[in-house]
Formats: sequence, C-alpha cells, structure tokens
Amino acid sequence: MAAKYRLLSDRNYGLLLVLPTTTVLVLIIIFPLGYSIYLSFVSLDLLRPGHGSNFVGLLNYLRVVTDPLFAQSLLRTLAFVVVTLSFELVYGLFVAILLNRAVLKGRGVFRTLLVFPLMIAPIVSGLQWRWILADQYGVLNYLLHLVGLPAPVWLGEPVSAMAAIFVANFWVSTPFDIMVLLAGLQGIPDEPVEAAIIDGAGWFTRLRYVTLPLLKPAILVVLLIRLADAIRIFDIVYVLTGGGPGDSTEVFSTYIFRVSFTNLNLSQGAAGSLVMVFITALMSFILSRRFR
Amino acid sequence: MIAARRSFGIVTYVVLVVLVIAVLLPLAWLYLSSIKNGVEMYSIPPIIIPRNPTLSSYRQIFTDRGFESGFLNSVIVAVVSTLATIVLSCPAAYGFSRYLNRGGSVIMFFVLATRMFPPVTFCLPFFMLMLHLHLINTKVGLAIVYLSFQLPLAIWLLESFFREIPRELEDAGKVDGLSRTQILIRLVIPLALPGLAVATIFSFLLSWNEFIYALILTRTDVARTVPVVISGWISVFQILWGKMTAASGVYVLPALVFVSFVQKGMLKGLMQGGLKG
Repeated sequence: MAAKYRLLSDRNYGLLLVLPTTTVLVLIIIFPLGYSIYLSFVSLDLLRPGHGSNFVGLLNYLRVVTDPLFAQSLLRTLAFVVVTLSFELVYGLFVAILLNRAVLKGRGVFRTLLVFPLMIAPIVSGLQWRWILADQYGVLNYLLHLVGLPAPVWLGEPVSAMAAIFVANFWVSTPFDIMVLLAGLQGIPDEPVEAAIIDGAGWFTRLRYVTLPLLKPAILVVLLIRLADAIRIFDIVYVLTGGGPGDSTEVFSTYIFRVSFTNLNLSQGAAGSLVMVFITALMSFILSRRFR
Repeated sequence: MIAARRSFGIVTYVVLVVLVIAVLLPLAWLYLSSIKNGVEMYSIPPIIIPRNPTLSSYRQIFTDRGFESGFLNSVIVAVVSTLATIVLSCPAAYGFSRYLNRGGSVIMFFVLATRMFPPVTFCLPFFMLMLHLHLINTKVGLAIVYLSFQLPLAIWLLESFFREIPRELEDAGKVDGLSRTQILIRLVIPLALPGLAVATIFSFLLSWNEFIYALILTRTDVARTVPVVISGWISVFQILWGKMTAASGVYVLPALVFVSFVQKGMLKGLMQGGLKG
C-alpha cells in the first residue's frame, strides 16, 4: 500500500500544509493584537517621554469612555451603520430583483454596468464626490440651480456632510450587495415560487413568504460583510470631510486615528480600538444569531 | 394582461437604464474633468463637455514628483504581497479543505474572525512593529502588513474552490502512485486555476486600494503608494482638481478592467466563500 512509505498521517500532513500560513497569521495578527491589549493597560504617552510605561489598570478605558468625543463618534458610527445597511439592503434587493426578472434581455450588460464601482478604491469615491459637491464650481449645485433648488454648502454643514459620506459610501459599496443578492436569487429553485403562483399568491406575498426566507443566507452574508466594512469607515471620511466641519463627521476610526496619531495618546488609542473590536464582534454575533 | 406585462417590462428597462446612468455619471464626470484645461475646470457655471480637451493634467501628474513613484510603489507592493499571499494560502486552504476536520474548522474560524478587526486597531501595533524591524517607510514593510488582510481572504476563497474538486480524482491519483504533494501540484491546483485567478485578483485589488496602513507606515516617495500621494494633495485652501481627477482616473483603471472581465468568477468566489461562512 502507498500508505506504507508515508511518514505522516493524513491529519499531520494537513497540519503541515496549514502550519506555515497559520504561523505567519499569528505573527502578523495575534502579536499586534496582544500588543494593543498590553498598550491599553499601561500608560504610554509619546508627548511625555521618559514617563515609562506602568500598569494603570482600566484607566485608559475609563478615559476613552468618558471622552464626549468618543461617545459622539460611536453613536454617529452606529447610526451610519444602521442607515447605510438598511438603504443598501433595500436598494441591493430592488436591483437584484429587477436583474433577475425572467423577461430581461441583456442582463449581463446591465449587471456589469450597475456593479462597475465594485472594486474602486474608497478614497477615489470620496474625492470624486468632493469634486461633484464642491460649493462653487461643483456640478451638483449647478444642476440644482438649473431646476431652481437651493444649492447648499454640502461639506460645510454637519447633516449634509454626513449625507455626503453616506452617498460616497453608497456608490462604492452597493455593487457588492447587488452581486451577492443576485447570485442568491439565481440560486433559488423555481418550484416553491411556481407553487406559490399556483396557490394564487401575489407578487408581494411571494416575495415576503417565499423569496426572502430562501434568500436569508445571502442577506446574512451581505449584512455581516457590510457591517464589518461600514463600522470601520475611514478612507472616505478622511478625504471627503476630514471629520469636519468641526468634528461633526468624526467616526470611530477617524476618532481613534486622531487620538493615536495626532494627539499621540497611544494607550488611549489602543483602549478605544479594542472597544471598537468588541462592539464589532458583538454586533456581528447578534446579527448572525438573529438570522440562524 | 399581456399589455400590462409588457409595460411592466418596459418599466424595468427604464428603471435599469436610469440606475446605470446614475451609477456611471460620477465616474464620467471624473474623466471629463481630467481632460479639461485649467480655465474650463473652474468655470462657473461648470462646462459639462470640455470644448478644448487636453491631456495636460495627465502630463502633469507624470512630470510632477510623487505620482509616478507612487504608482510604481503601488504596483510593487501589490504584486509582492499578492504573490506571497497565493504561495502561502494555497497549501493552507487545501489543507483545511481536504485534511482537517474539526480542529481545522477552529483554526479556520480564527482566520475568518480576523476579517472583523477594524484596520485602525492594528495601525499602532504595526507602526511599532515596523519601527523595531526598521521597516518603516519601506515597500517590504507595507507588503508584510498587507498579508494580514490578504491571507484570510485568499484562504477563505480558495478553500471553497478546493472543496469543489471531486475527491475521486485525488483517489485516482493515489492509485496511480502519486504522493499527496504531487496530487496537490499536478491534479488539484490546475483544476483550481479559476479560483486561484479570483483569489489573485481580489488580493491584488485589496492591496491596491489599501489606504490607512499606507498612510501610517510610509512617508516619502520611497514607499508612498498612490492613495497616500493623492490624499496628500488635499489642502485646506485649494485642491488641484486637474491633477486629482487625472491621477484618480489612472489609479482606478485596474479595478475597472478587472471588474469588467472577471465578474462572473468574482461572483462565484463571493458566493461560495460567503454562504459557507
């Protein structure tokens, strides 16, 4: 038998295949994570060198949690996540259902064009919208002016600046939702839908009681992946508003970035980012629980 | 009834066409702006179609300092980190899919859980790590850091592609006296080439688009990548939109090309990887 000259059992051979990569991952993920945890429990302030790094318990966490900017950026990020995910899901479903219609010709062309921004870098989306929304020579305000609508200073007001971030993110993110939901729809067998038609179920009833339940796995994928992406939003905010005006569009990532790298308050930054990891994990957990 | 159905069909087309236009217009505006001259760029009211199209903005980004080196850096970092990702993730993904069961899925879970960590969490530790390794502001340092998010994604995608390959084929290879490693290299990998292509393209674009680590870990033309260079052109008082739109237009080309050509494969990879997890 071939097995005779084998030094390793199948299981050990599998471990051998997996080991190098796992080691690399441990080194570049677990080590930094451990370092973050360490930092979050000591006092290390680059602005006060020679201060040493001594154990301070939960002080950094306390400082972060009691920072009003932290609470604001946290709430803002969570609101952004909820609004973004809801709109993306509804729009993604709407487009996927349209693309999945049996009578549709040229589906491939429509799909390719609708998901065109799929892999475009978020910073380009941010910059492009900054250019479109520019208050004097921006094209959007010109178009609004043409139809007689007021032309706001988009990035100058807290609410419209947040809306701009939403739009720039929506533009670059929804292709993913469309692709996954369309694939999910195409994977649904015809029989249950046909049975529902025979039973006289209307379009909405079929969608609500047949299509959506069968689409659950795809919806969960969309929500989980987009949750992780939306909660970490940074690039678009950085180039579009820079967290401004004031700090009215500061989100979680830009807040931690500023604490760590502008204020050089490393320990507090580490504590804040671990709180962020915890919240992300908690939300993903709740989401996948509710869906199973 | 039939008339109603037909008009419903027409509505579908109309809605889709409107959506396509809405999706493509911002990008069209970016490219239209990139071929305007300085006067048309900032004219009020805006000029939609440039009357004197010019490539001067493109010439400018390649003659001014920053963009060209940034472009090369982006290419080098993306190619190196993607090659390393594929070499490392292939055996691992195969090992997970074929040889490891429960213990494997525990490791696999941790691999996937890392996708949940917001990158800003790792900025600080990576910065300290690279400082100690003397790899701050180097392409190598950046490529190593990029493995942290490329590897989990590639393993995730490849594992599902490997799983699709029939076991009978590998058994046949065994009967023919091939070793396990030969089976992997000669039988499995050639069959998983479409999956490898998808994983390669995804990894490449993840690296290509990455911003926050590059922002933290690079500071001069030696290592700065395109997104860092471009974002550095933002200043409070004015933005040179000619340069900005031209550079963005060049920078997004790989993404546009890949999306147009490999959409189906990407879709398959997304679904397989996604639905299982």
